[in-house]
Amino acid sequence: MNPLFAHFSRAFKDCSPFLLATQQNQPQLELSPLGVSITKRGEVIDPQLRSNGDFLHLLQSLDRLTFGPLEMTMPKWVSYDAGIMPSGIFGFCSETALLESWVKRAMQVPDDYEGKVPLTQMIAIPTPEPGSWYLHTLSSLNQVCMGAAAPANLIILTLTLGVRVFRMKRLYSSTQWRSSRLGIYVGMGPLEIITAYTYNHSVKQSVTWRLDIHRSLIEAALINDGASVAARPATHMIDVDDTETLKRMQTEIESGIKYYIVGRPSTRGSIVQVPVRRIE
Amino acid sequence: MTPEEYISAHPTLQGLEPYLVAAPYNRVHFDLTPYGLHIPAQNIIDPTHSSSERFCDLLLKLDSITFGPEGMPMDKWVFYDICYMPGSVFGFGIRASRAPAELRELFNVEQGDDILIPLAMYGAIPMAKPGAWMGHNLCSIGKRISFRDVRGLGTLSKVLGLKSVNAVSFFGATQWSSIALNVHVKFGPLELYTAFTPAHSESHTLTYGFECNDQALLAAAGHPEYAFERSSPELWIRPGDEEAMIDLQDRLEAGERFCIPTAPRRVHNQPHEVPVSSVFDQYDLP
Repeated sequence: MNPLFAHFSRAFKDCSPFLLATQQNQPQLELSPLGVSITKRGEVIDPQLRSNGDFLHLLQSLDRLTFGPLEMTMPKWVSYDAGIMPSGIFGFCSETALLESWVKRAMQVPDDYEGKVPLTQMIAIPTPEPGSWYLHTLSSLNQVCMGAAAPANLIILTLTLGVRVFRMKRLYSSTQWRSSRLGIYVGMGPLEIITAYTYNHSVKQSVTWRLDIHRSLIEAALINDGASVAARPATHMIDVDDTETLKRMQTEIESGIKYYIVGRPSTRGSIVQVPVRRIE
Repeated sequence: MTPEEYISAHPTLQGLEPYLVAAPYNRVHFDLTPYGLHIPAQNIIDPTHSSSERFCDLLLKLDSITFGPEGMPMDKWVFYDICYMPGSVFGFGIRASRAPAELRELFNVEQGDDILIPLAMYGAIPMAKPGAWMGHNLCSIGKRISFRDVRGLGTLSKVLGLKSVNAVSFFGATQWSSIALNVHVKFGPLELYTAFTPAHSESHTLTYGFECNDQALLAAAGHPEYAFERSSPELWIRPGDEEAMIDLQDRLEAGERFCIPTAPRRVHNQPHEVPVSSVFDQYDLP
């Protein structure tokens, strides 16, 4: 095993990678991200084969459990139009027999099912900008049953391998300012803020960002815990619940000022702050 | 008649303004004058900009009025994450100052508002295969207004939307029961990729594709000089006949190729029957 993954040996022991992709999309995707062979260690699943219906049902369960509390569950038809057809779904799964019985119930695993059960998933859509992708789903069963369903940090492994699976050179996404997920993304490099207050999102206190992908930084994110080594010092700490500040940042961005998220969110009491760097 | 002349003179489009919603980093890759149609600068909407909120809310309103592509309106985040940011939304609208009270009331817009009221939209998503696009959302105000006939506006939005994103091949998913199949086959014979689709909310969904060239687009737009040779059907699928869908799906999975060559036909006690024929590489299919 590549020494990069030294801290993830438990994840590889208990879980295996999967790539759900149509026959048309498979040639466009990397099947050995960072040297991890999906075909040897896991499996490539064709979502358009009838026999894979149970696995698709379980992916829907994972989405319902992780996004349901936010009222942002993705209907199956949206998942088909915006995941399965345009690109694919990458993640990690586990043998059914290895799961606690309550996890199986929560995931609605059929009693007679003997296949793999997805624990994490990552879905991104390519954009017309060559090499750029828009990430709209990154989730882990650990979000709702911490430590009991999947090995720790499986989501980091999913993200870092996923950016290689989709051959990303640049990654866009939107994230709620309060989300701890920002800390995971910023581990791969500084995030350039595209919107600080997102008027066209259901949750306006979302940040839209982009990240240039570099293999060395992705590998570093697997080893280091914290902000990317590429991040420069912060000039401000943003209180993510201060709507007026977010709106003011948005106005500045629209007038040409650049902001980057350069570190992990920090929480003290009920205040969540995110370190940003402002560049005129 | 050139394609540009045909589109410019199309009666359905007279008095309407085209619009495009796309992120700045994407629209530099688009054709902003599809078939010579000029999209006014003020109608090129940047979804990351605060000024776009009002118009994007009107798109949500249009989606909810028409109940969306799957019979349910889409959430705001779905529009943002799925269409605006990675792909595009193209359509046609009319200025509030020129819109009748009937339309302004439907959208809760004042006559003095300087805003475009969308009448139709087409949302498409780029795919991993270069030049391939997936259809996601097509809706048109249709018969919900009485002040003018906008028949065909949804199809024209799809035609010009796909032209504007420089689509090379197109994929879509629809139900066997959908009357929209009548529109889809205007783009030519549709190659089938699935006939029974458990991955979709509705397993009685078919996945189809076509080569997205000028012939397909202009034939769909109704240009009289563009048409297709279409094969005769070998079998007909009824929307409720799951067994027939599964049988066809099994044949697709075994490597056979099929297409929907023509529009569905009416039958007694059924919405319609859908024709299916084998593909022998006689068509330019993706």
